[in-house]
Amino acid sequence: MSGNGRAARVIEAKGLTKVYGKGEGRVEALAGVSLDVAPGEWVSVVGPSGSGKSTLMNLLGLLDRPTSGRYVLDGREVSGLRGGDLARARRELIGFVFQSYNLLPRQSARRNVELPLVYAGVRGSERKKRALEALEQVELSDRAAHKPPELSGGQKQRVAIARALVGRPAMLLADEPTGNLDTKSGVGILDLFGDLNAAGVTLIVVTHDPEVADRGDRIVDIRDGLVFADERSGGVRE
Amino acid sequence: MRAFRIAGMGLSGLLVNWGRTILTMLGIVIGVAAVVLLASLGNGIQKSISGQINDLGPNLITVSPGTSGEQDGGDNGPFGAAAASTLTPDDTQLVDGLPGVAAASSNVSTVAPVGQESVSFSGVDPSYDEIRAVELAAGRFVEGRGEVVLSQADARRLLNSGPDEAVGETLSVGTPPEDAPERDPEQEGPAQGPNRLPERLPERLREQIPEGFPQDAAPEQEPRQEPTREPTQEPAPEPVRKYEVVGVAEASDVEFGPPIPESSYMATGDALEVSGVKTVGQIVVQAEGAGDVDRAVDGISKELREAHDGAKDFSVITQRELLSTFTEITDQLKIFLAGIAGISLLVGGIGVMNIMLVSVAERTREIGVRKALGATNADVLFQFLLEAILLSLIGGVVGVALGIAGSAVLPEILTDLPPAVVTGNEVALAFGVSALIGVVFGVLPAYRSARLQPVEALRRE
Ligand SMILES: Nc1ncnc2c1ncn2[C@@H]1O[C@H](COP(=O)(O)OP(=O)(O)OP(=O)(O)O)[C@@H](O)[C@H]1O
Ligand SMILES: [Mg+2]
Repeated sequence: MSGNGRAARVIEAKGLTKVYGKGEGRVEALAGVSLDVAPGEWVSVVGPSGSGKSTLMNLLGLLDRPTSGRYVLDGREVSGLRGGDLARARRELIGFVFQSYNLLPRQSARRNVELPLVYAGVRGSERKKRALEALEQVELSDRAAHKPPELSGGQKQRVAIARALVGRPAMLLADEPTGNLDTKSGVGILDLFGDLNAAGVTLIVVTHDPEVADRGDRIVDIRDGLVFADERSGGVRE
Repeated sequence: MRAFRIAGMGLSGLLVNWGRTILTMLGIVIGVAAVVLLASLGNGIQKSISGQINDLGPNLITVSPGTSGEQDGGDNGPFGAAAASTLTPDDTQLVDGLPGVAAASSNVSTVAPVGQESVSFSGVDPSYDEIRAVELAAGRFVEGRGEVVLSQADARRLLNSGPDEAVGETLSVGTPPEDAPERDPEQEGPAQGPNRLPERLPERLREQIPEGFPQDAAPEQEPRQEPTREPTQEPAPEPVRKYEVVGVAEASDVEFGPPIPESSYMATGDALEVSGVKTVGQIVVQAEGAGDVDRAVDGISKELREAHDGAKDFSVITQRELLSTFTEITDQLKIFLAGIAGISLLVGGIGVMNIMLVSVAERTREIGVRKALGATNADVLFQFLLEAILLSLIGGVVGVALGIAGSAVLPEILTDLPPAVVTGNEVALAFGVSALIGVVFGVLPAYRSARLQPVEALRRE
């Protein structure tokens, strides 16, 4: 499950479409997106509101099903996966960071981080050890016993990142991870992403903030459900 | 092993979310407790009403001598056709053992002189007070020979005393021999009551010791044995015997059903001896239940006829009208109470359903999170099933305990309520239905949420 032996492309998506609704209310959120992501890359996804960024992330994170298109994740065709295989792909290949954290409010930070390991079948003591390691990685060891309501927004997002990391996935997907945070906390999260990326973690980060986008190696600009631009970072600046 | 871990996590989740856990459980507790309580109170009311109707004698069967119409026997009371009777105490014995018969008693009417007065006695067996629901104002009913229970009127007339004072007194029954008219009243009469009371008490206790039991011959015992020997000593037709008053009967106020005649009672054997006849005027029988009356009547008719060499020289009378009223009332009551129990079960079930639906529906987002992190639908269902089972079981047990406790306490507080009767069937039904609803509606919404794409589940709320 580690970086060794991974495919040349973490993500190979071809012609992904997503259509919501039918007839009058039909919305083509994605009109055919193709995207390749190499291991260790940091890809920023930008675009106007409603352009389909979140829709794309949900497809890439296996949280939703494309209407059509092909998706190869870490060398495996995952478009047709169902049931147990799909759940396994989610927990082994993907770490997802949400804008709104999506932590279980009553469980301690450590227990939240342990959650993916429960479904991976890791036994209790090992789970605890790895959760604490992940919390250490996000510099939150001293908050392991705290529950989400007792944490700041930035701290909550760190717990969420630790949870996304703990299963050692092929990549980390983050949909506006700093969207709910003040600038200072946001910078903290981005620094963390920088460290993780430096350590070899593949990152795809949706953002509205050009400065955040610039932290990535690449910027993918989505407009009206299509890739409008896909360039190396800095190339399109100013 | 993986399932084991998910189970452990689910349980720790129940503890961590103790507020929600308790609230959900409370829904089940209240549902189950309400059903158990209502059903038990209903049972108690039914039992009480049935008991009260039973006291009126719907299970009563009267066997009267003669083949006359079925209507007169019951009204003849203890004076019914004693002269022409063909019924004997042996017949009573025979009837008592028949299927569907709870108890049977002879009834011999006799009039005997007591001092200057003449008193009507019903000679009956000890089971008579059960069969006819004789209410006692004091003391106990006749349990053997040598004992009498006086009516309140007779107690006043003969002893000039109220019920409580009359108990323990001794009466001389029969025409006194001319040479010793004064002896007996002097010896054991009421006049000596007050100062002899303490001695009388152990004497009465000894009375209850069965015959033949070796008794320490106390000196005051001797006059007591005298009367039984008297008939052999003196050939008088109605020898004087001394009887102890063991109880005083309440004036009966039966409003319908066969009237219980205002009477004083003695043992069947004594009445036969006093009246000098060998037959009984009537046999009163109590069927085991209202539904057993027909069976008992058939048995009695058949067996007595055989015992009487095929002669149908008796009639068997039942309280048909009362019986049908009785079954009508109890049937209606049963339907009514079943309705109440059913409605409370429904209401309780809907309550359980509601709380489970709400508590699980608000966890759709949680389900989305779990699925996003790699839980399969089966994992989610397993966790929610486990939680629902645990909540339903614990809630059900607590509810049953609370319902039973309430059934015990409520009639104590509301004294007009008859004691509740908790039956296993209803407890099981309340528990089973609530637990089933709890599990079904704990899992169903979880199943619905689990089938959503994770992103859809996360969007809810
Ligand atoms: N569940 C849905 N049902 C119907 N339409 C949807 C649904 N989700 C998204 N859409 C539509 O799809 C389009 C793309 O939505 P999406 O959330 O991907 O945009 P976005 O780029 O993430 O916007 P933002 O920057 O505001 O988050 C929008 O027009 C939106 O209205
Ligand atoms: Mg979005």
